[in-house]
Amino acid sequence: MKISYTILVVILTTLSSLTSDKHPRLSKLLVIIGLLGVPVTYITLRLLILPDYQLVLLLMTSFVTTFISLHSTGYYRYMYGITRYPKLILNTINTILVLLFSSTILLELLVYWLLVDIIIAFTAITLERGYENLRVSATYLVMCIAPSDMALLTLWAILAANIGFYETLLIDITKQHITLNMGPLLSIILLFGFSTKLGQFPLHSWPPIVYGESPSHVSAVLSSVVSKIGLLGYILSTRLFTIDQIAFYVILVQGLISTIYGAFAATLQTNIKRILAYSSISYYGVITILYAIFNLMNISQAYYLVLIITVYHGIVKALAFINTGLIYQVANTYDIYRLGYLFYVSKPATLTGFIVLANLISMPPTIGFFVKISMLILSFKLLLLNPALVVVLIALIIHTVFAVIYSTKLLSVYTSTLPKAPLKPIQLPYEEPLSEYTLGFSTIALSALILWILEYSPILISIYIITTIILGVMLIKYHKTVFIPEEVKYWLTGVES
Amino acid sequence: MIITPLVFLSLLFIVLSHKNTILKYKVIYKIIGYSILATIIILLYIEQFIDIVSLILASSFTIFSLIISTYTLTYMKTLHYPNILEILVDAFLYALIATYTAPNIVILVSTWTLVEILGFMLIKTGEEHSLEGPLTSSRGFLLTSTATYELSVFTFITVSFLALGNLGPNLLLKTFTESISKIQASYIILPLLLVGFLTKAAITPLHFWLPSAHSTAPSPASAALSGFTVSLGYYGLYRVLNYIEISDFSQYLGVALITLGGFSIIYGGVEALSQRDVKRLLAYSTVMTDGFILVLFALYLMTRTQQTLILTLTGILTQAAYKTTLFCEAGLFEMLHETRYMHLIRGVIRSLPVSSLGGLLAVSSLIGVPGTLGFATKIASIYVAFEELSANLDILISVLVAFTLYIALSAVIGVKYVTLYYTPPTKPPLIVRKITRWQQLPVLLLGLTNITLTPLYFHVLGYTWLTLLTVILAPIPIITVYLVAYTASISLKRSEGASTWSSQ
Repeated sequence: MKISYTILVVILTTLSSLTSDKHPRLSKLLVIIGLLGVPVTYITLRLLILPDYQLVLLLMTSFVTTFISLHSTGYYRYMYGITRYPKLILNTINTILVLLFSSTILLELLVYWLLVDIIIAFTAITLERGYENLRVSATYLVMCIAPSDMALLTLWAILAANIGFYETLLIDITKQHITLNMGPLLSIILLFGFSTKLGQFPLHSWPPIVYGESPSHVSAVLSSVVSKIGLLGYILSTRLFTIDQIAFYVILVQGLISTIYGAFAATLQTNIKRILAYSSISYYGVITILYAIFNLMNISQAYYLVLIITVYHGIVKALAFINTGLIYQVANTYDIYRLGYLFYVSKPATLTGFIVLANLISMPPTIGFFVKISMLILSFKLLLLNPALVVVLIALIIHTVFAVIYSTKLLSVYTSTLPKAPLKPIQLPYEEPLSEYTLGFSTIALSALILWILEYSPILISIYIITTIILGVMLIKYHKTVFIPEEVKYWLTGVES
Repeated sequence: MIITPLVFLSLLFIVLSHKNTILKYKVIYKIIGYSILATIIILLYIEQFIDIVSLILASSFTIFSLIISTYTLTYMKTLHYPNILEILVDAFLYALIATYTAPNIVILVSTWTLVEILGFMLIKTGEEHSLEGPLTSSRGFLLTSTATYELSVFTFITVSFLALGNLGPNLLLKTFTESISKIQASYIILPLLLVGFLTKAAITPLHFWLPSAHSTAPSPASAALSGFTVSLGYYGLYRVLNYIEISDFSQYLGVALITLGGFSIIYGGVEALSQRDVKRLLAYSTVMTDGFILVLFALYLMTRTQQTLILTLTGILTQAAYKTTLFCEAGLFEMLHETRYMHLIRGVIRSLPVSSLGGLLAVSSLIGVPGTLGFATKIASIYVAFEELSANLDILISVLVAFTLYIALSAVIGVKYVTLYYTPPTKPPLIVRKITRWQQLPVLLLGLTNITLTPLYFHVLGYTWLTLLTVILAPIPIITVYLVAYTASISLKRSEGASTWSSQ
């Protein structure tokens, strides 16, 4: 079954990227079937049985990468007139990521993990700028790939030393059947190594460089999906071994520092992609904190919250990063101070920007609101259990407050200034608004799902319903808005007023 | 004894290839000559004159040597080197293989001395012919590397005479496979014994002769010097320390060697990153890799297990495989652009499509892409370090730090080297002459050894798990190289419709 699954995903996505120039519609159909249809079918028919965390990660990956792939079609056709070259590389990465999160034995995990890192470092990052971006690849290789691979290989070496080599390769990683006791050193090596994939504190300087310099779609994949491999690493190492408590304290401290630092640093940037990268560090910090707390205090709510934040962050950051691609397409820059007029050029891009803002500042009908609420509820609960955990509350509050600041900065890209000269709206390829709207409205739809799963109070449900109606009205209003540029008046001398 | 006539026969074929003027026959004679040499090595192993270490090193180096030797033909002709270069390179390679095959100390020392002299002559040839490189490199080689080697070897011979009296000469004539009684030497003599071999292996305080010597020599000679000659240091140490009892202070020696190796890794790696000359970059990365192999060798000295010995051998083979490929490729750059400076070489994937694939395979081995020899060495070293040193926590941590530094620095150097392949967005560099696909073939063959030799040797050594792992992972370097070649050969150009709004 697994072999047919792998072959289907690989063949469909490869065919899709090869046909994307000559048969664009067929190519889109193939990529939707390959990345989204096949995994969902196999899961619903119970042909592929995965534990909950892998299921969540896989579905998120399938959903996000499909729309990133669709979006990139429009982008590359518009920018370079050719889509086959870049799409082959992007779709290869997407395929491997889908296969990585659906792996059931250690061998699959090893192969896909090593392969995806190398391909990203040498092909995806250098896709648009060529060899100039190889220094970015070097940063990624040294600060992210090397430590996390060390951790992965340590995990494998410990298993191989204890239960034999061949047995290790075929071990079922979805089941929790080994409890080897790790010493403090090995525990720290494992968790610290995986934390670099999530850009945590001592090695936190790679995400701004890598996300900031790569092509936007690659940044989207990196931020929303690839970094979550680190979370998979955390979960696997705690399921396969008995990790020493001290390692969780280490990642807790890492997470606290990264959350606060990422939130602060994001507000200071002038490049939209760097803002998003620092904001990602902050979110990864929250994930790390909650995962450490789940293991230290055994609160299952924290674990579910980790999974929800993973999905939320995956979709929102993918949306934000593909939107920066759109901004680059219409304005040719990422600098905030050279932008500010995008509303007059592209209404669809502005709508996406608003949805991202709504999520980041936790405006009600979006999933961001429910995530933040449950985060704060959890941290108050922790405060009652242990007063020392007030640091978690402080970090989460800083994270929430600064999110408002930097997302306002993001919104200023669209509406902060009036254009000096009348601008004509730019016609965008239809794939781009389509995939952005799908990702954007899924954040609203998903919050309904979360309400259903977590059985929240009727107050929250009524808030959800009311705000959704308000949002709908606002959207209709927005749709009817027509921008009329100010008439430029000239004095008799000919000097502009 | 069938071996003596076979030696003469192989020499005869190599001489015949020199005498012939037609390229096709030259290559055929060379193939026959080196095949006979490989047969001799296998026969010697069957007759138990040499052990498995010699067999592995000598036979793999024979394969590399054949390819380098054929590569020399085009290199010499294109760059107008004197005809003696071919003879010198062949003699050098032959002497090197003889050194690794030597059954006892006397033959080892004499062939090694021959290697030193021929190496000096090759560096001298490069010095007189090429435009780049310092003019004192051959002198540095002779005065530092050769002189300290002789010092150490004669110390060893003197010690063995002093310790065993009349038995001395007998000891020197005994083959390595026979069991021997070890010499009790005082620790005062140890620095004298070590210095020559450490200089040969270019370990940090004694590395200064290597970058200039290896970058000045003609490219095939650089390939052999960097790939095989440097490893003679470890080979010699391995042989000599088998005669001398050092178990009392092997722990201290191991720690000292790990420290030296760590410094070599840092120094070589950092220096390599700041080079503009391709061959100097490669030479400094040799210093770095030598530090890594020294750490592996120190592990062997401390534990004396079969596993660590094999690990050291794998390190040597990795270095040989990718260094020969990259140095031969650097020779192709010299032929193509008449320069070795990295900023003048761009877009090689288009001008040298065949050899670039080999070069990319070698670079992936340097970076440690899964499935290559380099990855196997790195993963096996971490695995073995955990297994052997689990009781010795402080040494384990220092070894792991050295490994991490090596993995990180080699990856960065590899990325720096990869820039050569990418197509420039602006004007491409000046191409002096065209190079045919046949002329690029040797580099591709050398590059393929980075992935094909791996499973073979692990299988021979009985390490089935590593064989299996490399076979399973083998598609990864191939996919990676394909995709890198694909990305490097395209340069996306903005289409007409693309907007260029900006707000000034």
